[in-house]
Order: sequence, then structure tokens, then C-alpha cells
Amino acid sequence: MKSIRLSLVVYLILLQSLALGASGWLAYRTADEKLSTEQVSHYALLAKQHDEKAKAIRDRFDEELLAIARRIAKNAAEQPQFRQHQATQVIPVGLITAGLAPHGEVLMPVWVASGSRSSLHLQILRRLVTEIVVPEEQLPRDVEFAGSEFFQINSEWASLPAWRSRSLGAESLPFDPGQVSSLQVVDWAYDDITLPNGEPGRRIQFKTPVSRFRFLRTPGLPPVPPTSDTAIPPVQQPPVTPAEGRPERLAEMGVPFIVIQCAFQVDQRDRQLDRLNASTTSEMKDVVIQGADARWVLTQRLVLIGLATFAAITFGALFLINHGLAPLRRLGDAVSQVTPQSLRLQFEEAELPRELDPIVDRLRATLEQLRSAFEREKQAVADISHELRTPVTALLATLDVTLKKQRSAEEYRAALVDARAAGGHLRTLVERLLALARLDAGVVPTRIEEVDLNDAVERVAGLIRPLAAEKGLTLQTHCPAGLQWTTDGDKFREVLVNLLHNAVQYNQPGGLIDLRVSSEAGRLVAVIRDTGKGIDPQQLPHLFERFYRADPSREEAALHAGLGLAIVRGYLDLMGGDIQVDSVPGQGTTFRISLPPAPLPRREAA
Amino acid sequence: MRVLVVEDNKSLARALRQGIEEEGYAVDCAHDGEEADHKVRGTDYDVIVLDLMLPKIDGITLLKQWRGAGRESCVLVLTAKDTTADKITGLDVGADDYLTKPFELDELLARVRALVRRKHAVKDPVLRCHDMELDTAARTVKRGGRPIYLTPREYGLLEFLAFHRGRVVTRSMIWEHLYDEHDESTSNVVDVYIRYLRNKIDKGFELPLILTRWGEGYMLRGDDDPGPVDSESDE
Repeated sequence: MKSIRLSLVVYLILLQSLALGASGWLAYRTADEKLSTEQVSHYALLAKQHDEKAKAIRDRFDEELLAIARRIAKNAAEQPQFRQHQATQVIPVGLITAGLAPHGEVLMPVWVASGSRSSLHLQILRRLVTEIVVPEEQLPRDVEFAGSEFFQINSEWASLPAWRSRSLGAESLPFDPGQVSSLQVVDWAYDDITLPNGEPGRRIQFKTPVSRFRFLRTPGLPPVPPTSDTAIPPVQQPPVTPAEGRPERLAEMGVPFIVIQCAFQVDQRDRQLDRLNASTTSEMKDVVIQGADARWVLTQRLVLIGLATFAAITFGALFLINHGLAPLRRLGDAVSQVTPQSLRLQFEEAELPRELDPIVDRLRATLEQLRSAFEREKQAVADISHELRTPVTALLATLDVTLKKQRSAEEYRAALVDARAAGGHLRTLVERLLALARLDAGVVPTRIEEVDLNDAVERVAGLIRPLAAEKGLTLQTHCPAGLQWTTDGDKFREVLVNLLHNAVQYNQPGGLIDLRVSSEAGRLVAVIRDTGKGIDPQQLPHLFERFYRADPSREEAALHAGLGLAIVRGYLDLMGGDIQVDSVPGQGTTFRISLPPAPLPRREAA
Repeated sequence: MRVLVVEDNKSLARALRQGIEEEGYAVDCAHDGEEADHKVRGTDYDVIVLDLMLPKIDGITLLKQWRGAGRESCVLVLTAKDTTADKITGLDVGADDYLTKPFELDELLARVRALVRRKHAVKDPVLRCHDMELDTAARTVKRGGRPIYLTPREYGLLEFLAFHRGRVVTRSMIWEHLYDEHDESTSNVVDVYIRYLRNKIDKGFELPLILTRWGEGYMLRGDDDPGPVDSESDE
């Protein structure tokens, strides 16, 4: 037994779970993607910020380096040292001019050359300058960082020894002239090196011409870059293209260059960078944690919303299911109230939805059929009992009266005759009821034989004639001589007797009864005509119903009991025949039966 | 007492007639509605035993007609229709009693007796007249404590007088109520039976109970009737 309610609930829960699951998953996915994108962009932003900050730190560091290098360059370029004895060896006249020259040791040629404008003095300069010295005190050095800042000046011309700051001690910074030669006139390059004290450091190599000679300071030199970091050209980029003319010529002219190296320990900067890194990392971690938190909250909410929706829909659906099933329940109640005593559905038509109309209509129709069947049965039982009661009563009353006291033999005989008559009526009635019951059950045995119709008619007439004569009626019979028919002779005669009985019963005094038997178109036709009072046309349709009497009062009760015509109809149906009735009230009734020949049983055929 | 049995089943009608007649009643029979109606119009029956399903005119219609015409006879409906609705219908159109078939003869007879009492507005089934007692149920008569044996006809006559005690009943009344339609005798026979009764009831008793009213008829002595001074024997 399937329960609509249960299956609906199960399907609903399944459907709901699917829908909620799918939409929850979608919502989660969408939100998750959004979160991820946000996280990624947040990450990217953080990374960018980090990079920028790190770059700023590095740039500031580099700028400082550059500023220092520039300052040193400014000093260093004007302080080439010339060693006296060399000059003396090269140019002996230097001694002569020693007293005149402002620099004492500077030889005349140098002095002369310094005033000259030719490339020659540059050659001289290159030859004569022995050393470029930067006084230690001029170094822009933080007391705090002494020992971690290193300076070195290398000259372009290799013969010149490198000047090294005291912090370097015996060490020196590595110098690769080739690396520097690619640089422009005034240019610099950064690189990361390992400092002599073993620490990592940052170095700037600043190339600058020795600018002692005023005339060399031409407007063609590139301007000193501003100290702000943004304008600093990247290390690897080629420097600003020199203007046409002088700078080019500077190189051609063989202006000597020096390379100032400033190498600073970068621990402080790196610490800064580390801090930056740490903060960025923690921020990124925060982002990850926030993302996870957001996902967790999202999950919780989705689950909560899902559960709430699930519960709400389930309860709503239960209500709806109950509501939807209510008419069925009402119908069920109404049906359960149906009893054989009251075959009616007890409810208002408007209470039920249209969908149940076919069921209700069918139920009502069935109940109506049942009710009329019950009615008919009740009526039949009442009729049967009524019909049986009268002869039983007559029998009992006769016997009771007779037994009341001693009687003469004659009286006993009369009583027995009466009792016999009542018994006879009872038998007739019982036989008729039995015949009908057998017809209903379909167990009427038939005995098909070759019937001599003349004989049959005569036998029937012999039964009826005395009754007719008693009422002053005339019975006429017509039957072609020698007419034979294959049929159940007993039933055929029974049909004729019943119809003739009626004709006698309902005839008028001095009336006529006419029976004609003939063969027409392969069928046996018997017509029984009477001159009786006729039958009301309204009653004709009911004529063959059981216990139906055209006349509600009765004449010979037990003989008829309203069963005769019902049996006639039953027998004719059994034999494949039919019956028609035609009646004119006041003039008479005509019954016309027709029978096909019945097939002979095999025994006879063989 | 005179009873009409209206019943279309002839053997039942015969049995009823015999049974009731042997109770000392005069019984007529009718086998269809028209015959019954005809007889009721001609005779004042004490009790009518009426079947409902009758040829020609059915019992209910007959009963309505009779009650409409002021017939006072007690009607016992005797029918095979046994539903409550049928009983209600029968009683409501004026039946005094209702009995369904099949029935016990004794019950029917008892009901007929009860209806006779009702007809004469008597409740006690024992009718008393001075020192005489008439038990209508046992159909016995005692006078001064001594039983008196009567033939059915004599008993019928005495009972009729007893039901009309203190009132004069005419010969024709007696004749009508004690003799059925088939009886060939005339009202003179009443005088004969009165004589027989007197022999059995009054003989040997000081107070005669059966009184003769010259030119009127007979009566059973009432409680306040004067003594034997003005009573005259018929002899």
C-alpha cells in the first residue's frame, strides 16, 4: 500500500535537497571565486606596495650613495696630487719655478699647463699626476657607521694608484676598468659586493673627469641630477646622451677620468627591508586568514540559510500536502459512512474539488445502482414473502380450525381438500420462484425435441378450456396440420399456458381467446389475442417485471403472483425467442411470440 | 355478534369463517372489494376482518370509504403486508387492529373478542348481571356460582343481550347479529332461542334476568330494573 503523503514527502525532500544543494554549491562557488579574486588582487596590491616600498628604500640608499659620491667627486676632481720627484725627473725645470708656483711642489709645466687650453697639458697632466687624494676628514661619514663605509678612488689611467679610505685598511675594493669604460663622461653604476669586512654591501662607481681645469667645465656637461630619487636614471640604463659637441670632445681630448667608489654596508637597509618583508608577509597572512574566515562565515551562513529554507519548505509542503489530501479524506469519510442502509455519500458537492468529480460521479452512480438493486431485492423479498404468506396462512388456518374440535369425517375431508388446494397454490408459487431463480442462475435444463405443435396446442387448450368455460369464455386455436418444430416442448407449452392464463384472467365475461400458431420466415410464431380490458400503455414497459401486476388488486392470487410474464420472458430469452405485446385498453391485448428453431441435440442428430 | 370476513383467498376465507363461527359469531364472507362494500352497506357488522390486497377495490380504499360514511364497525386488518409503514397506514385510515399473515387462529379470535368488547365499550371480559357471570373469553356462563351449559347459538344470544344489558334489543337486531346471510330462518327463531335460554338461565331462580318488552323485544335485566313484578314471561 503506497502512501501518497509519504511518497510526496520523500520526493519533496529529495527534490529540495537537490535544489538547495545545487544552489548552495553555486552560491558558495560564486562567492569563493569572488573572494579568491579579491584575495589575489589584494595580494597583488600588497606585493606591488611591497615592491614599491622596497624600491624606495633601495633607491634612497642608492641616492645617498650617489650624493656622497658626487660630493667626493667634486672634491676629488680638484685635487690631483703631483709627486715632486717624478716631475723633477721628467721636467728638470721644475726646480726653477718652484719658488714661483703657488703649490710649491707643482712643477712649472703643470702650472703652465693648467693655464693652457690645449690637449697637450692634459697629456702632461696625465703624466704627471701621481695621486688623487681625498682628505679623510672631507669624507661625508657618519661617526656611527665608521668601519662600515668604504671609499676608493681609482683613476682611469692605471698607473695611478687607487686612493683608499682608511676604513679599508689594507683591503681594496675590486675595480674593473673595463666595466667602467662603458660609462659615459659623468655617470655611475651600482652593484652589490661583499665588503672587505665580509659584510654584504652596496657600491656606487661614479665616473667623473678630473675637473681641475676650469675650462673643461663647460655648459655641455650633464646637469647634476637632483637628489630626489625619481629622477635618478636606472643603473643599467645608458646615461643621458651627451650633447653634441663638447662632451664628445672631452673624451677625444683625453680628459682623465677618475672613478669614485663608495661602498656602504647594507645591513641597516636590509633590516629595513626585512621589516618591510615581515610586515608584508604578515599582511599577506592576514589576507589568507581573512579569506578563510570569510569562507567559513559564508559556509555557515549558507548552511544556516539552507537548513532554514529546508525546514520552511518542508513544513509548508506538509501543510500543502495535508491541505491537498483533505478532499480525499473527506471523500473517504463519506464513503466509510456508506452502509447498506444508507447508500448515499454524505457531503456537500461544493466541498470537493473538480478533480475528484469522475470518482464521485462514478461512486454515486454505482451507489445508485446498488441502491436500486437493493430496493428491487427488498421489494422482491417482500413480494415473495407476501405471495407465500397467503397460501401458508390459508393452510394453517384451515388446519387450525379443523383441529379445534372433533369433526365428522365429511368435515375432515372438506378441510383436507382445502388444505390440498392451499398446498397446490404453494407448490405453484414455489415452482415459479424456483424457475425464476434457475433462470437467474442460468441453470435451467432444456430438453430440445421435435415437437408436434398440433399436439402441444391441444394439450394446452385442454388445460385452459375448463378455466375459460368457468368464466364463460371461448377459446379458439388454429394450428396448421402436421406442423413440427424443434424446441423445448415443455417450456413452449409453459409459455402458452401462462399467456392463456392471463388471457382468461383479464378477459371480460363472454369474451374470446384466440391462439394461432404458425411458421413465418423460418420462425415459429404464436399469437394470443384476448378481448379483455387491455393494458394501460404506461404499464407496458413494466409488464415483464417480476411481481408486476397491471392491476394492483388481484383475482386469483397464488396462480399469478405477477411472476407468469417474467417466467415467459425468461424462457423465451433462453430459447432465443422474443415477445411483443400490443394492447388497446377496453378492447383487448395481443401477445406475439416468435421462436427460432433450436438446434437438435447431437444425440438426436446422430 | 356478526362478523364480515373480507378475503380473496377462498380457502382462507372458508377457514376463517368456520373458525369464527365456532366462536358463536355469525360470519359473512366477501371475496373482493365490491362485494365487501355492498355487504357493509347492507348490514351493521360488529367486526370486519379485512384483507388489504383485494380485487377490484383495495382494503385501504374501502376502509376510508367506510369511515368516511360513518360506519362504526370495528375493523381488524388481516394482511401479508408486515412493514411498519403498512401497519401505520392501516391504523391511520381507521383500522382498530392489525394482524399480519400468517397468524395464529387463537390470537385472531382473541382480537375479534377484544374488538367486540370495544364495540360495546366494555373493558371487563367477564360480563355480570346480578348473580350471573358471563365470561366472554372462556365462553362460559355461571349463575349463582353454578355453571350453565349453553349451545353456541344460545351463548351468542345471551352474550348479545349481555352486551346490551339494560337496553331493549329488537328481534330483528338479534336476528341480524346472530344469523349470517345464508341462514334461511326468520326472526321467529329468535323467540325459540329466547325460550331455550330462559329454560337454562332463569328456571329455578327467583329473579328472571331475560325480560320481554312487548312490541319491542327483549332485554337483560339492568341493575336498576324493577323486580319481577312487571316482568312477563313469554309463555
